[in-house]
Amino acid sequence: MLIKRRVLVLFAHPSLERSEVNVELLRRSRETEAVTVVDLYEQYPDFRIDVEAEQQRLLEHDVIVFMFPLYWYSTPAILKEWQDLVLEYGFAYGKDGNALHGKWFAWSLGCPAGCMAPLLSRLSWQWSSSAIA
Amino acid sequence: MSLVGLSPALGTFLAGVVLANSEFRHELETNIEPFKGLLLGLFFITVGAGIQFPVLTENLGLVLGLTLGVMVAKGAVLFGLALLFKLRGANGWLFTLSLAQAGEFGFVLLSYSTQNHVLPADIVPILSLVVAISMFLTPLLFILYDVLVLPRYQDNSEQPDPDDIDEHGTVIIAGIGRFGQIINRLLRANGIHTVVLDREPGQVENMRQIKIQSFYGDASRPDLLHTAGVDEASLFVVAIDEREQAVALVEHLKHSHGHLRVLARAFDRQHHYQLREAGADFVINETYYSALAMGREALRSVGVHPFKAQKLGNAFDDLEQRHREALYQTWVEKPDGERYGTSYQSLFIELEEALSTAMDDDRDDHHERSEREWAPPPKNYLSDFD
Repeated sequence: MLIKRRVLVLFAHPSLERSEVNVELLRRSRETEAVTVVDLYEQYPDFRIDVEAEQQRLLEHDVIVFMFPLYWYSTPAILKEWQDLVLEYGFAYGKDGNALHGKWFAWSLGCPAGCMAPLLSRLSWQWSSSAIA
Repeated sequence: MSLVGLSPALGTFLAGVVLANSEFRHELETNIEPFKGLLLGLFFITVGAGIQFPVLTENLGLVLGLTLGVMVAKGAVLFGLALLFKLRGANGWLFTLSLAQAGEFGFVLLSYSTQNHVLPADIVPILSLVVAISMFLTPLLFILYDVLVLPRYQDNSEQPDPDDIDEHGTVIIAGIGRFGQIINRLLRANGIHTVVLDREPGQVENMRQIKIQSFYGDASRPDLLHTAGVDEASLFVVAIDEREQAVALVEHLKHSHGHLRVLARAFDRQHHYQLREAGADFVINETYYSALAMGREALRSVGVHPFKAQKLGNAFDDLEQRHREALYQTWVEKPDGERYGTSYQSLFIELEEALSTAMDDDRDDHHERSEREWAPPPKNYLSDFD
């Protein structure tokens, strides 16, 4: 039985005109039904993230996907800003911070072939479990 | 109108007044244009035919004396009014000279007063002659104005014709003063084609000297807009000084060119609301962001950390935008007379209080916080995970 989940794609690319792969992924995501695509650089060109709105969006979706090109083994700046501001104490972690319990999390990141090995060994599980716990 | 005992002419005049306030007045004006010439010609033929030459030749001195007397008296009153209402220079003279005539409604009044035996029948032909001759003399007064008055008030003795606009752009900017220049330079620097209009020939000339192309003309004229390419344009920026004309221009653009996105420059809060009501897609108060930048610098100058000053400025801006929206909704719902009444004022005071509370809120109360910044978790948060 297929459980229909609501999917949120948080896309971060500071220079879409130079993008080759992500731009295509973005286009395909937008065409997919039941997927909410948010282009963070488009929504917040001055980095002034509306934390309330973002938290509300997280609550409304079951699967959160970060889609971004890999910059220095991390996300482009706005997605980091997003993590710093939106994943608050009391919302995403800590006492009563269980708003994201039970949600799924996924990445789609782009980097040249062969970059994945060091990334997987260092970052993945530690980071994702602390953010979503 | 005749049922009520008033003249049909007054009725048509009232009909015109009512239609002038409707949203169809532009179309009305355009449609009436061809008939105007025809009917005006007919009207003046009637006026001319009403001149009874026997009466004129018998009372020539009286008629001419009365005519000049009426015109001088009326002119004096009008000149006084022009000074009172601050119509300076050439405009004041134009007002005086063009309205010094006795006015065609005089014919209506004279025939009405004859019917009702208010005036004796023998002086009425003389009076209608006075009216007709004063109207006859008005074109001479206009010539007088052009030859004597205008040169005194202007450096050029004649207005240059509006320029022939020989290119079309996707963006039209009305006004190339302090505000419009910045917008034009930003767009041009990025290869976006703009057509710029300005009403001051001096300004257009100054711009040409620094190699910024603009065209002379009054952006509120539909025929000029048409030649500027408003039908093919996708964006129109209203950056003119005159407030009422800006509102009228926005209304016209939204009415006749619905596909066009209109950005407008507002003088102050009230003008902002008016422009929004007229349908502008994006309105900015001309001094707001400059003042905000100065405010941030002021905060820095009194010792606030630059980044903190930046965030405080951002928080102020966010709240200000939201409050402005709330105030606008209150304003737009009220009919004209009550717009700045007690409910608007009390809302304004309430929002100002909310602003100061929000700005210095404690970071623990994160749901009320106006400005969301990274804040460390509480000191003992690790105990949550025990």
